[in-house]
Amino acid sequence: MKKMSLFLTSLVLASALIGCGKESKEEVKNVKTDEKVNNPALERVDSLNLDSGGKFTGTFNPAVSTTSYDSTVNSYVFSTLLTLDPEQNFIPSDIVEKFNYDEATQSFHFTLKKGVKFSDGEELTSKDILFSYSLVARPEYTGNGGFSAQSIKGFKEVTEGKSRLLSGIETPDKYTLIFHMAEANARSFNSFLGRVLPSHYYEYAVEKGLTTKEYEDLYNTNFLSKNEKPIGSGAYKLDEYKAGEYVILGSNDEYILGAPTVKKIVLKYIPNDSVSPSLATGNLDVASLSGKASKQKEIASKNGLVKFQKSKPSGYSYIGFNQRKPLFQDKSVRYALAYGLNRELYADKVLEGDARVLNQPLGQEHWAYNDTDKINDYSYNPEKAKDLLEKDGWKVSSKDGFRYKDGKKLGFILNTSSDQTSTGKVFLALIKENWKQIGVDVDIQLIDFNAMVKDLQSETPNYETVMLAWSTIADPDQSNIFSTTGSMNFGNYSNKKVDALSKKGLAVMDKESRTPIYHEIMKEINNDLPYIFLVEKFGTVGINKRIEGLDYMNEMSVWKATKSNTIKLVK
Amino acid sequence: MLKYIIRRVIVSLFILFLMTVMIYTIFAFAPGGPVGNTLDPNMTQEAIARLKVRYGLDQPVYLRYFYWLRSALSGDLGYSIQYSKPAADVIKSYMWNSFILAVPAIIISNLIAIPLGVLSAVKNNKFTDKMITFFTFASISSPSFFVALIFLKIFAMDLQWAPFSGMVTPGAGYTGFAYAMDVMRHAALPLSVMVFTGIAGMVIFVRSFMLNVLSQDYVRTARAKGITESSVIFKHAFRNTLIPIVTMFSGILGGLFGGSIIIESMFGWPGMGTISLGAVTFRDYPLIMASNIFFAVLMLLGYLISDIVYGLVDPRVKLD
Repeated sequence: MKKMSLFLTSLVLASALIGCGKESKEEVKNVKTDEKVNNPALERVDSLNLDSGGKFTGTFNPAVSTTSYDSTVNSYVFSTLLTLDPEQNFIPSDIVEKFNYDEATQSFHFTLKKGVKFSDGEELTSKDILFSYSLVARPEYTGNGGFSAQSIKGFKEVTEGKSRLLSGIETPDKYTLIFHMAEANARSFNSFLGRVLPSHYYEYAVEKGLTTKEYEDLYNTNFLSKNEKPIGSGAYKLDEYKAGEYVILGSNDEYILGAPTVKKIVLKYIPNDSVSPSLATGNLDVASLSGKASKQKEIASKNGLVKFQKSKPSGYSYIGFNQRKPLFQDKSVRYALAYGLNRELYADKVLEGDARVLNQPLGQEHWAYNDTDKINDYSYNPEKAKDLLEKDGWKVSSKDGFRYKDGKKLGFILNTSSDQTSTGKVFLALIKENWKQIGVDVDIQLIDFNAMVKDLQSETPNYETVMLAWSTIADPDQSNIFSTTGSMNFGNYSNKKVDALSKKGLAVMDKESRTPIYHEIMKEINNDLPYIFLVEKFGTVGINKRIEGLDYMNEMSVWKATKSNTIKLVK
Repeated sequence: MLKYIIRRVIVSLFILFLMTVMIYTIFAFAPGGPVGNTLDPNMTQEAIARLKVRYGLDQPVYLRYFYWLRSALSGDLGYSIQYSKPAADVIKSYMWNSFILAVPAIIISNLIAIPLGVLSAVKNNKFTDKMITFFTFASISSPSFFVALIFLKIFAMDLQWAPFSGMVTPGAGYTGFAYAMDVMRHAALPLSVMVFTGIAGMVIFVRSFMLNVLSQDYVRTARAKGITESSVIFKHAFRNTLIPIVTMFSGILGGLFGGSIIIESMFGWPGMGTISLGAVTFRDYPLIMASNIFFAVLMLLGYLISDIVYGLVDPRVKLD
């Protein structure tokens, strides 16, 4: 979430201010009234108020949406072919009867349910899916969804304008689809998390032979213009959108599993500082808290209306080394920096235990997480760090206390985004202090995220170290980030074994045979240490007590609970 | 007069042109860009390259500027990359919201500030003056986000008199008078903060000019003639302080929209400030250009109007 750092400071102030007002007398009162407390949220009966998390940009079109806030709305409105179960397995979605992968022909076979309808009453057929996947390959397309079609045969012909529809998608009848893939790739499953657009509403130019300009104009006027009036086959439809403020979703009577019992969902943009107070006063039903969890919980539970849950980590943070720089080609230096950093203190004290230190690029709950081999835990050990540097020839200078080798100081720049949370800032201070103790002079530079990305994605990135975070996807594949030619391997890490194993891991589809391969990859990366892996964070979610049956794991949980009616609102 | 206005409009257009050149080049040379700025592992280099061509970002900067200028002159400000719709439409849907907040804020704060400044000058060094000065310094030295947080804590959380954020109640479907009341209820807090933090500068300004005028010879003469004190102050002294006040107003029209970014963010007000800031972070060039032109036009318009009004309040100024 991008917010001006000013507000983070103000958040601290807010917490401090609001904290002052709390007295023991008040607490006694709260406990007393807890039983028959006046809960304003009850007035909303069968509607939910959610925090959108950020400002909508009004791209309620899964093919072009640019923010995760818009994507959340899209998940309510549109259907996918596959979906993920809690164990991160791909399973058929509400609109799919059955699906299977045929290894011999490298093709995915889907059978759609009959009678699936879009919110305008039209039936969803294989034609709509063919359109949705072809669209993202077309030359005039402007979104970043191209990846979902690029492994399907015929992608290149559409990109080059020779064809308007993907030849690799076969539609023998209205309910059958066969996707012919260009290669066997386990990541292909991810492609089927793409959302289905009704072609009768969104198709703007299926005919061939128009000029580039004509296609672009049609795309702008007949496709992008529908962004604020989406039509999908999901459990909800978009009833109202107010730019910069809120979205109102209404239950979709045409939904294949029947209209949900939660009739209305309001997703409202609330500035960070007001989220916890809005929970406290019953204005919000569900919201994740940002900033220092204990403080935010205290504010949110002021009127006794709110209960809390922990959400699952959705990614990890790291410090990446640029191995083009000779300093970081030296494994002892990388190791010493890892041992010299007190990540445990950060996780346990700064983040109040709502985080787990990790040493491999997968979360502890992932099926490919390596918990069988003895991998290095790099737990805080400044003595070992000093020892490693000493052996490597870095000697402490009596002048300034930093280490030198051949007259060169052991110092470098750490780049990170200027959008830092209050806890993030504390961690930066901790890094500086920790490394100073082992004789390393780190200069921390906060820079505009966009400018930082520009350097990372250039031909030869110039940074020395960078602190960032990755969000994790369902597939354990690491080839984007850690294979020699990976598009996100900006640190120039290279390990032939990891390259070969990554290829092998993608070529097989079943978990059982993939697990040992990924365990091996994890072990290699853990040992090479191209990153200092930091932590995976848990989120804290405040939920109004009138809501039952919501097991909050991530931002998709409310959607899943409402469409399947597992969520119950106390009247 | 007409000749003067025409000349000024031509000069303003020329300034506007220079501004577009400057803004365009500054942002084009700032590191980063609108394509591939999210470190999305799903974006391949080919996809990024294709999108750069699609948006014309593969062209040299001067060519990009001329393409932009050509379509801007024909009234097309381009497609916002972030919002996937025409940049002009994005601005249209947000500008009135800023207007609703900024115009009353300026009117109310000046209605309070100008009399306070006059009073403070007239009662120079008396208890009233000291109280006003104390209040002014308190107001000028409290950052607006801090005041906003205190107001939120007291009025939205504890007393629950006003909502925390937003401009209308979602899904209430108010129309007409009820809608206006709803907007006013939402605007109450941000407006109070803007007034509270906005009056100080004007009070100090009016006070010092008024003091200056009050020490002039003609004021002494007026007093010596035996005219009532109120007539001295309002007919002779205050009229002369109006001239610098008009100058102060000239920049206001532009500042009106740009100046409330912090307030807009704190109260989740869907205004121009936050979208133009967002456009810069995203490097959404068409939207950056459109919003800057919008601000620039307001600014130039403000100066033009103030010059004309200047001639009206001060007959000594000849507009030729």
